[in-house]
Amino acid sequence: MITLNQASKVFTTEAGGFKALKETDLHIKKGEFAAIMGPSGSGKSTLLQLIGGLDLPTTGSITVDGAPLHRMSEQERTLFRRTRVGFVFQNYQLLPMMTVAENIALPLAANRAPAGEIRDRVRQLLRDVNLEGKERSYPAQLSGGQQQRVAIARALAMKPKLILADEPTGNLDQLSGASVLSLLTRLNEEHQITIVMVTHDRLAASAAKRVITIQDGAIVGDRQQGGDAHDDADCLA
Amino acid sequence: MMMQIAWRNLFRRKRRTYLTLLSVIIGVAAAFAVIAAVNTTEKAIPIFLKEAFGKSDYNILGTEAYFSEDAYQAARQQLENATAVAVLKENTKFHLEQEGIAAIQKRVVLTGYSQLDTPVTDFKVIDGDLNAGGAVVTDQTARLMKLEVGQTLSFETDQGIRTVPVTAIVKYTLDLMGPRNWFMAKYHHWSVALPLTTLQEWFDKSGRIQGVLIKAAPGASLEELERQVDALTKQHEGAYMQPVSIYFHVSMKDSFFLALYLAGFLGIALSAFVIFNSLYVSVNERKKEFAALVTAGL
Repeated sequence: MITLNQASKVFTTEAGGFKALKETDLHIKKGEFAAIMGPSGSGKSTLLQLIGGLDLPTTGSITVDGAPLHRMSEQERTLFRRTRVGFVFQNYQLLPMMTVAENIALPLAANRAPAGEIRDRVRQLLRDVNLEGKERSYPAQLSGGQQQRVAIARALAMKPKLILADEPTGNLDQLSGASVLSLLTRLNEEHQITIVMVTHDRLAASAAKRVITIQDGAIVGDRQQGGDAHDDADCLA
Repeated sequence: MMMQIAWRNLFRRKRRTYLTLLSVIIGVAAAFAVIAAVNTTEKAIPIFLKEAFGKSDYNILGTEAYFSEDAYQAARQQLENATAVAVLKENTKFHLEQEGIAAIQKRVVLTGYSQLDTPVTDFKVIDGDLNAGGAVVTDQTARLMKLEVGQTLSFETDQGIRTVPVTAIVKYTLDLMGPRNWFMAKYHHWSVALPLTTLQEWFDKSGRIQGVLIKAAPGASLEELERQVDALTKQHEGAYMQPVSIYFHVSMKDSFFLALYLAGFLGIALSAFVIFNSLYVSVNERKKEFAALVTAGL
């Protein structure tokens, strides 16, 4: 599903070049739920942005679901993000002037889906994230947990095979966080959606089946884990 | 979708939107106003100045308020290819029977011309005859005072009340500038042109004038005329020559236009400053939105 081959990222600053991600090899299989852990500034988010096609690697190659991101143009990567990846962020990144339904419909509308299809899909997604009846609400009228579920619904709108989540529980209380993790786990298990989640929260990481540890731009740990922690998350939800 | 997002954002911060719109309007208006003002002024001011002061090419003026008419007679005889007109001005008041008109509204400047029908005076006759020996008024004055050729006007003079028939009505001219209505007559005097001899008699200024207006004939050499006028003034004590030149192009213009450009620049700069700030705040405020749109593949 995801293959990084000697992929690195260097940011140019006034002080000179800063290597946010060192030459990295990584393979994440289809249907995996992987958590990327590490301290602040370790390169977690950079790695996620490269996998999501938001940025290009300075060296090496990145292939996601067969798409060679390192060779794709800006326009191709935009289409890739719209159709094949769902993003979930810590601060939800919902459009405040649009309703819940309009936020969820955003990628569908951008892809010029028929109005009827958009309506049905939004209704289905609202059911999936347990937000029926909130379609006309604005983000500011929802709790943090509800907003994050709207963000997840939007991420699922185009039925992507991959969801990239950057600290999805970072802004939520324990209960809401567990609810979001439970939702992600269900999506992974029931729909075989590959999930890559960046977090520095051990409890959140326990929901994943694989934990990749990154430090100073390099992967320093990579381990599979059982379902105990996942069960903890379910219990909290 | 993008249009919908943009439209809703406009109404999300209404005050900012109105301020931005207002700034755009002010900026555009300032730019247009300056361009229009500069273009109009560039064309209108020289015309105005020429109309007001430039009918003659040279004037003979006196070092005292009045000087002898001899200078005028000499100019008539000696100057070749030129027209000379002697001028005398007196301030007085209309003598009106009509009640309810304040004294200040009756103020009138009488200008006596040795000849009224000349290229120097350049009156455009609407009705009557400039050589009939009576008063000449503009169409605006005639309309306000309900005057027609043949009717009379009375003035308070040094010799008492004097009455003269209106013998010509001419197109409005700056030489005979007057108020637009009776209310404005409180702030601006009337003007009436008369034969020079009439005015000299009324105000006991026989043989005295205030100036001689000299205009070169078409195609005549101004340098030669200047030499002749200069020589003439040297023969008459208390008279001197004043060339009539429109210097607007070189002196007034630059500073006047600079002031206009400065006002326009300030207007544009002010609106640009407001627009920049408005956009800066909006973009900063909406960074998350842009990120959301980018990740959603827009």
